[in-house]
Amino acid sequence: MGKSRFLGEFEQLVLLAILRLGEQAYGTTIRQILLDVIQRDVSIGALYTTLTRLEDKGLIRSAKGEATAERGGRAKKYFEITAEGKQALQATRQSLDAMWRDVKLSFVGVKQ
Amino acid sequence: MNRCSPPRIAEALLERVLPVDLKEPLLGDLEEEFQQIQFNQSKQACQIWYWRQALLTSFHYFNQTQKALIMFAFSVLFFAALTIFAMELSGGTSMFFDVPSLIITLPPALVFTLAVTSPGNVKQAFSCLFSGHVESLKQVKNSVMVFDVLGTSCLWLGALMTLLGWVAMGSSIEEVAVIGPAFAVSVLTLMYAMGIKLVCYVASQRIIYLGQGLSPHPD
Repeated sequence: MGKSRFLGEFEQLVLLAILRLGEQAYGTTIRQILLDVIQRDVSIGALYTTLTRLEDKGLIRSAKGEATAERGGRAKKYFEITAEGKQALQATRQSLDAMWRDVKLSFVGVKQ
Repeated sequence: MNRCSPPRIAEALLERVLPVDLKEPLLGDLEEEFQQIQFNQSKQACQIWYWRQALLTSFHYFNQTQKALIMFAFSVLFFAALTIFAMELSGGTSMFFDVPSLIITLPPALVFTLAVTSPGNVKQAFSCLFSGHVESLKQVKNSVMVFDVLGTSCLWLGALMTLLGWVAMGSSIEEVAVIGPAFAVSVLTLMYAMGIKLVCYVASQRIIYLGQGLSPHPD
């Protein structure tokens, strides 16, 4: 995996959120799942900055959705992970698993 | 249950700061969530939540979308700081400030600009300058014209008012004591006019730069 495909921690979380949400992945739902599952309350600006970066890298793609009254008549922007995004996620997981193998937290002073 | 709308000022702030392609989805997401949290939070808490999101989001995008405004403001402030520094070296800043000299150049020049172009064009020119975004060559042409007319009118008005001051001084040349201050004030008018012309020149060049690469025949 090249350096440009290295995924940061928040990028991984956003990609996983999109995978979990399937066809319902857009700003509000991604923010909500991050809050519900890992109690991480990110600002919508921080989330869209990451989504834009992932899209620029070709790891996700977006499509304009429907506008609803509760959104003030504004359209949603749905996100979908690309094959390249899935590969990057898988490669990052393998790298992390490889690094964690044979590591005990007591080695670095953390009580288990 | 009476639902309230998101705070208008916070929304306007986001409209101003967000990139064009993110305005619709991001503002829509915020409004959707704002409506949802009203079911279990007080009106005040919802407003605070929206403001927090708006400020944090603006912080993320301000540098990205308002770079032109930051750089223009910085260059004008740098110019002002250098001018004040030069004034201090010349014996103090107080002798360089004369409100009437500014009043007889800038407001009439602005009126000329409005007469030659239009209030819409003037508003658009400043909007292009501060947002760093131009959409068409026509917009570039109109905006450049606004700054050209404003700067040149200011310069000519300054020169005219300076001459007017000299004529007044000439007619009372025997009163030597008043010649000095009167001469200083008349030259000050020209100095203000030249300063405004300089800023207008930089503004028009900035608009031309922003318009580079625009197609003469947009689809």
